[in-house]
Amino acid sequence: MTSRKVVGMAAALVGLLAVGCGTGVQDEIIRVSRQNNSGTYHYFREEVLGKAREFKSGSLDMSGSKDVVELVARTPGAVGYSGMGYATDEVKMLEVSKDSGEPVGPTVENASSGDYPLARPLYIYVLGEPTGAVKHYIDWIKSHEGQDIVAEIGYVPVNAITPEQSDSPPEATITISGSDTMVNLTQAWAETYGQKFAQVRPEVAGGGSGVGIAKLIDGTVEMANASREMKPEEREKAEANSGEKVVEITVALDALAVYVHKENPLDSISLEELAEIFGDGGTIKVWTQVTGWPIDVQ
Amino acid sequence: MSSNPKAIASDFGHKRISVSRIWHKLGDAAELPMVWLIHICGWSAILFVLAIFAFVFREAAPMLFGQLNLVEFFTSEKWYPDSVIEPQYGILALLAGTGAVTVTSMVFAVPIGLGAAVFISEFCGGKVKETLKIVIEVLAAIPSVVWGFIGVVVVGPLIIQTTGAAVGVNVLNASIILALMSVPVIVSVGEDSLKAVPDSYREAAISLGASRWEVVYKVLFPAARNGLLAAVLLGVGRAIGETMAVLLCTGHAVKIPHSLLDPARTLTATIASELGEAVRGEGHYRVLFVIGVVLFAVTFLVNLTADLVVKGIRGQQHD
Repeated sequence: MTSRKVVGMAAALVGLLAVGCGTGVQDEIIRVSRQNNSGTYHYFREEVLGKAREFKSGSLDMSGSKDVVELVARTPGAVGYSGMGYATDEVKMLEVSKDSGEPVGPTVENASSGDYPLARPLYIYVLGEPTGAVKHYIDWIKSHEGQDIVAEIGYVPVNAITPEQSDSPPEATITISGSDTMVNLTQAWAETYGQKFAQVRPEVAGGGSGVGIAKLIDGTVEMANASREMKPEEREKAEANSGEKVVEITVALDALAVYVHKENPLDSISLEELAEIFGDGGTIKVWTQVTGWPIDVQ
Repeated sequence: MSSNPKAIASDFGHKRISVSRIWHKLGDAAELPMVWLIHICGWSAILFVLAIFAFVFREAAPMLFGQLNLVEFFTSEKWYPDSVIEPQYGILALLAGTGAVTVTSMVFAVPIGLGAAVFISEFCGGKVKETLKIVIEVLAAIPSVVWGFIGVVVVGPLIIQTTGAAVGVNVLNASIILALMSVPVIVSVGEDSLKAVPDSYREAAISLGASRWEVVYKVLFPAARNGLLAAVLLGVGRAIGETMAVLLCTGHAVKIPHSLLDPARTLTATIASELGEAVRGEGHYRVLFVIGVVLFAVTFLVNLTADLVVKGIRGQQHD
């Protein structure tokens, strides 16, 4: 019987680990990314790595925006990207510079002025110019009331309009699906709006930008949320299926923050450095290459 | 109808007989449908397995026999299924992740599980035994997402502190959690099979002067071989199929792990994290179902091997 050997091996293993090599210094850069079909993943890839470059394999791919921040908080050598609304006290947001310009912090002002390089629009897509209850709902989202909710949830509002709105939209159920990033925002909208105009019921489902757009193409939802632009072939399909034009409405901005552990001495990073860290074939693998020294962990 | 009480009583008695006769007749008539019903219940297991396999295979087939290059699928580490540039489907790293996590967790779980089974079955009695059995059952009832949470919040930081690893969610973390999850299975099945060994074996061994350890090692283990092997393989099955806990604890990184402290990613966790946002009917969705077919094949192979090994052992015993 080999169980004796197995016990021995296990004991040796545990002993080896317990002795360990804990030096308290972390130099390896741990990349925290998102799963490969999230809108955030695609946006970051295009914006930071460039149209023709893939992510380097071996990053820790989280299924949610919140998970990225939580993992970075627990991992001293980590760097990750996620919506700035998810920031906590446990992590640090880096200032980001582009084309050797001045580094800019991820704030609401910098994002709406366009100075912060990683701000992306969040879209709602509908087929054909909206009418009736759908138009009423979208106008309300773009109003001051709707945009205040955007700021409350932690995203960046777009210029609010003062729509001419009747207080009695036609009775309807609006089906909405799409982006996971936007799910909390859309639910907050739907809740406040539903309380104010009880005859309209917005029904919100997540699933991701790709799923929302696919459902819009199939005609199973009236509204798709997306944290990325609709691809040309998706537009073609939708227009061929429905005979209507795809209408894109920008309802908010989301600044993607670059998060590091709170004990990381780094304060700013350039897009070029990020591309070398996250991109396929990238040359930056350890913190010494960015900061000049490894991270000292207490 | 008679108003005489005696007549009523006899009436009743007569009826009772006729009721029981009717029951008998009904029973006779119902026997055939009941037999069929029980047959169907028996066959339904096969039916469900076939139906599930047919569904998974139907969703995977267009990819499996279409654009998927099987050689690349099994030998490439490049997993970019949703790429805008060029989708690449290589599951080598995922296979390696599943293998690493399963093997390492069994290295922890098998000695602990079998040891606990021996202790419960042979070395303790009365209250201790009952308490241990109940506690182990409770251990088995903890949902996997809770295990995952423990892995991320408790085991992860502990690993960073004790080993200085760069990241707390890795192969070791997932293996520890999976080991804890499969130990209850190994213990309960292992204990049952040890209990099934007749006491006369123990008595004979002790009367020949064997020590307690020798009884366990030289008599019980060989006698309960099939059951113990089944226990271990059930543990392996649990480890391969587990999804939620490994999704949280492995770090979910597409990379062939070179050490226990490297993050990895398993086949099951890949399906769990990506299927939700994959667009139905497109390449990425179908390739996830192909992974499902691969998982099916792997578990089938494990079970088949188990069956063959058990049969082989039985064959040897008969000789």
